[in-house]
Amino acid sequence: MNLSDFLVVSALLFMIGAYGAFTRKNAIAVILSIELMLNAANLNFLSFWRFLHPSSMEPQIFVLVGITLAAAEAAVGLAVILNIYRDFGTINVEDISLLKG
Amino acid sequence: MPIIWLIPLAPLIGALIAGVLALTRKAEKVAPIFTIAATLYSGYIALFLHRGYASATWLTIGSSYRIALDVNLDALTFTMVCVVTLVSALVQMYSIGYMENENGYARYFAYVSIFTASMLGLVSADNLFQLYVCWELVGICSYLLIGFWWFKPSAANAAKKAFVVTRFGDVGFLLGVLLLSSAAGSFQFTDIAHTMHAISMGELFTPLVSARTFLWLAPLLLFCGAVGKSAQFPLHIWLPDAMEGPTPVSALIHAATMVAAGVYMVTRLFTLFAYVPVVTETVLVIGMITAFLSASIAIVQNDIKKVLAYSTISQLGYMMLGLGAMGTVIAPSVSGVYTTGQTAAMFHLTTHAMFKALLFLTAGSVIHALHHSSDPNDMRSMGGLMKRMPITAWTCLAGVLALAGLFPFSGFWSKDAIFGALREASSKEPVAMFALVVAIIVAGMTAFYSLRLWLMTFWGEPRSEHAEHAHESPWVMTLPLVILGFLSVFLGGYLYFGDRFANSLTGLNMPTEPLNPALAGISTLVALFGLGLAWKLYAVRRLEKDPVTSLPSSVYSFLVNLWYMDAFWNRFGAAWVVALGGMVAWFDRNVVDRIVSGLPAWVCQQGGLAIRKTESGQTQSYAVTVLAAVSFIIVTLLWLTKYLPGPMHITMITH
Repeated sequence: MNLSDFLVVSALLFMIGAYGAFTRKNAIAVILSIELMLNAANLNFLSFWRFLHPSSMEPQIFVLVGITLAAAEAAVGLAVILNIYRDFGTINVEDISLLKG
Repeated sequence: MPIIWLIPLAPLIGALIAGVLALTRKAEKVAPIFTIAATLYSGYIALFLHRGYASATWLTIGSSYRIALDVNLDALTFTMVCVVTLVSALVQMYSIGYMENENGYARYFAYVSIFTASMLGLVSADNLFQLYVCWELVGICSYLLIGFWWFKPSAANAAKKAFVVTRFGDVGFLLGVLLLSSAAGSFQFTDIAHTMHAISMGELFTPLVSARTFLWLAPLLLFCGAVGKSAQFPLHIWLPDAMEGPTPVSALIHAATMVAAGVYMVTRLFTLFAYVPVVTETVLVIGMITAFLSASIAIVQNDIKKVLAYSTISQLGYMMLGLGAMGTVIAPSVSGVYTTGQTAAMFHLTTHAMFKALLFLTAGSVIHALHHSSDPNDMRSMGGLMKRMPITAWTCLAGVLALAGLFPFSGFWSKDAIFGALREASSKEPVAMFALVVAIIVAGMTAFYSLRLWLMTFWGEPRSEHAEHAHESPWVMTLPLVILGFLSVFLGGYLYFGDRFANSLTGLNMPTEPLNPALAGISTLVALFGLGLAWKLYAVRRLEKDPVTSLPSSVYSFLVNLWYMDAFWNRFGAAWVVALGGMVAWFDRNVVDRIVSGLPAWVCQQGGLAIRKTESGQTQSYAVTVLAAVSFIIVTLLWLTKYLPGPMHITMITH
């Protein structure tokens, strides 16, 4: 198990998340996908720490903050989706296109 | 600070006070107290100091190019300061009554006071730069005061016309100033005079043009300015229109002082004009044409102010005749040639300022009395005002006789001095002989139209109801008339006897040539003939029909149409500009606008339509774009680090 194995896993995780975020029509599924991408980033971060600078503590703290933010983001995101549902009667992201030029 | 600075500055301070009163619209009635006091104070300082000099550096360009502000109170300036402050103070006093119920009362006095300050700055200048600045300042004051009743379209147009037409001359003047000062490396009059002398001696190279050309080109360019400002042919067309302004303004600016600035400038810089005969001949011929043309037009005018306006142009032509004639050189020197012609021109300028200001003020008094009439300027609806306005009538008669050049009124002495200078010149130049004959004919025409004006206005029976009920003006208006009337009668003789004027101006104590009895006799006879003809035709109880209308119709229409000079300018001056403007406008609309609104607009529109499609409102597609862009940047950076050495080098760290 060396650094590149972890990075490959992280990259796969990120791409799966990105694919989900870009293609799923259900807003909740989009948020789930974004969570995947966040976790991929965290994994990447931790991998570099573990293999390159194992003595320093800061990356762990960064990642903990990241996880906390991800939780907060999920809460806010769900609240936004709830309000969107109230206003539009749907959570299909294709139907929510008020910004269309 | 030397007190001499207050000569131009005191009226400026007065103008500032009046300006504040005008802006705050408080206590407007006290404005004239300050401006008149300031004007009188300037005159008092000049009389008290008599001679003086002060100079301050305003700007220094490079190491030696010095632009100065000066007050050079020499004999010539002293004369001009006396004329300007006296006429200005009297006109302002008169205006207290004339402008009484006008809106913008304080504004009027502020303008007049700025004008007085600018005019004093002009005559006290000792360098071309200050002369030019003040030259334009009096021009803008003239513009503001002609357009004082700006809500009348005719006044606004006249103001614009005056400004634009004088600009034609001022372009030449500016070029002359630049040419002379670039050759001299200085703006001071004495430096320029010495430079001109060195150029004529072939001791100095001239910029842009050869020395021979320079000697006639530079003074003639300066003369262009005088032609515009002093309303000489062919740029005289603005002055009659300038009568749209309040009448006291016409008296001060468009008769006595500003229009004389051109004559003053030529007198001041006459040393530059004296090198090449063609220059003085040009001045002479222009003066001759102007004097004759405008005197002939004045004969057929019915508007009292227009008669006086054409008369002013004609008299300014006389002054130019005197300058161009040169006469005998009294005091030759590099920096100050004095000729009898110059002395005569300045003498005529002085007396003319008195009697023409008087005539305009009496005309204003009449207009003031008739101001309920639909056209208060029209002499055809006047008549019989002598009994109703005796002071105005008698002072006006004094002005008329002075203008006609009748012995012993002021105009006689100064006009005769000009004839004398022409006669002296005629032995050398045949054109001066011709000019002398024309000048004498013009004297007869002047006598005719001036008495015609007086008789149509004051004689006989009233020809309208308004004239029937006219009343004499209040004392603030008649007192200046009486003072100016007194001066119109006596000033000329007083200055003539003992050669007071000539000696004061040249600073020499030498007797000038005595009055030539034959010439004086001829000019008096001609003037009497003009007066007699006017008396015979116009001194009737009831003037049914204006006798000048029975001139041959071709002559009459030629004169009424102002020698077609306005038509000429409209055709060949204005029309070409308008046609050119039309072409430029067409080019702008059809070529420039097509290109501008065509190509870039098309690009913008198509680009907008294309970009619009990307704005789908789909957050996901935006995110894809962001991902694609970031990926592209990263890949590019990596690729660059691989192929390009340099600062963008990213070291891949491996464990």
